[in-house]
Amino acid sequence: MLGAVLLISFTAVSFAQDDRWSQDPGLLDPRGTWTCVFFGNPAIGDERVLLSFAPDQSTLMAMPEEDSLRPWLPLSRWQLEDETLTFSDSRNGRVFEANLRRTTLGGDWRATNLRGGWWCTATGDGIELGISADPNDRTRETLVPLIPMVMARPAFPRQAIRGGIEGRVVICFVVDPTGNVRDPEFVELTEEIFRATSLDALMSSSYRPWLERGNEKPRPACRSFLYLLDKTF
Amino acid sequence: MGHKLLVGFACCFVASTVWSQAMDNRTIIGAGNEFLSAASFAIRMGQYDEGIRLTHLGLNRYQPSDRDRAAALSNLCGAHAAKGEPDIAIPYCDESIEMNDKDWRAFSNRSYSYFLKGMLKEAEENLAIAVDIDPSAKQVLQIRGMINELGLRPRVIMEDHQ
Repeated sequence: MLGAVLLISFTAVSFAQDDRWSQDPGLLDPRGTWTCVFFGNPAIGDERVLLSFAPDQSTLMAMPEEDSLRPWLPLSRWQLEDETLTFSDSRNGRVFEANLRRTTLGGDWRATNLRGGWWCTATGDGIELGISADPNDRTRETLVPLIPMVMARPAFPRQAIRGGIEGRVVICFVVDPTGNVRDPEFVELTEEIFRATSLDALMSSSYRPWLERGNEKPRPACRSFLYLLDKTF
Repeated sequence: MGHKLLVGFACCFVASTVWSQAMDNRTIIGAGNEFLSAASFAIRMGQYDEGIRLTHLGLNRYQPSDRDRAAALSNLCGAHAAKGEPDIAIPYCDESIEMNDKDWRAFSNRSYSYFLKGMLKEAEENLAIAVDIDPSAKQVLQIRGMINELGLRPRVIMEDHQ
């Protein structure tokens, strides 16, 4: 009897969540597998990972690297409150958040003394990623790194110099297989004055195309701009 | 453009003399004030030489109050700085500040004079004192902008995360 009640409750919750996404097309559905980049940890640097958000709210992470095979690692269950998705990694104490109103999945993460960002593109269903929980499976997945062809430098706004204003901007975006930058979104913007110049520089940038290498999926990436003023007197 | 900027500065620098005289009845009574008032007006209109001449008349022929004298010296400093003569301006500011170290305009004028000489550290120090005395002074922002534009080197560090 109790089991039946719990099953009905779980089913009701699942249906409620499904209703939510079907009723609100502007809300990103995180369920599925995503290719992501984590950045901002000075000890580790940038990390390329795969995240899987299951309908039962379980979260898995894998780290595809060129010469190693890692199984899926369990993270905390993903939670949805209003439009914010949260989950955490107990191994390093990082708590991840994402606003599901963005064009793709991504947001920021925080640990005790650190904070950074993450950005993803959907890998879609049914794609053989070569990552398996079976340690005997020797299938490998190689992610070719994005190679910048044009990395435009932003102009430092004159008004910012006059006002002695410094700042930091992080823009996350998607690179399509032709190497063009698409769907930029500001993840961090400490001073509004740097918005236009940062976006102009990013959209003037491009990467080496990889269509011929057979992987036609867009890739997530982020770029940070640190605007500094050095005193000369 | 540069001339208009200097006139603008001059107007701000000297405005206080006329304003304070209008607001404070104690300084209206006293010989020489009409020359100092006329001098303020001339400098505000960009007639620096005339303003300097009238200020000297007001200071030398009559006995203005200490407060008026300090303000007049600050105006002389501002006028000479507006003419691009910082070496003549600075001693007037020094004398004004010695008589009254609570006048933010004197510090502001001296800051601008040091800026003209390229002595940015001294310019910034005087500007900081002016801000301490009156944080809402608009002219301070303008001078600070000029100091920053000359003395700060911008740098952008970019990093890709993928």
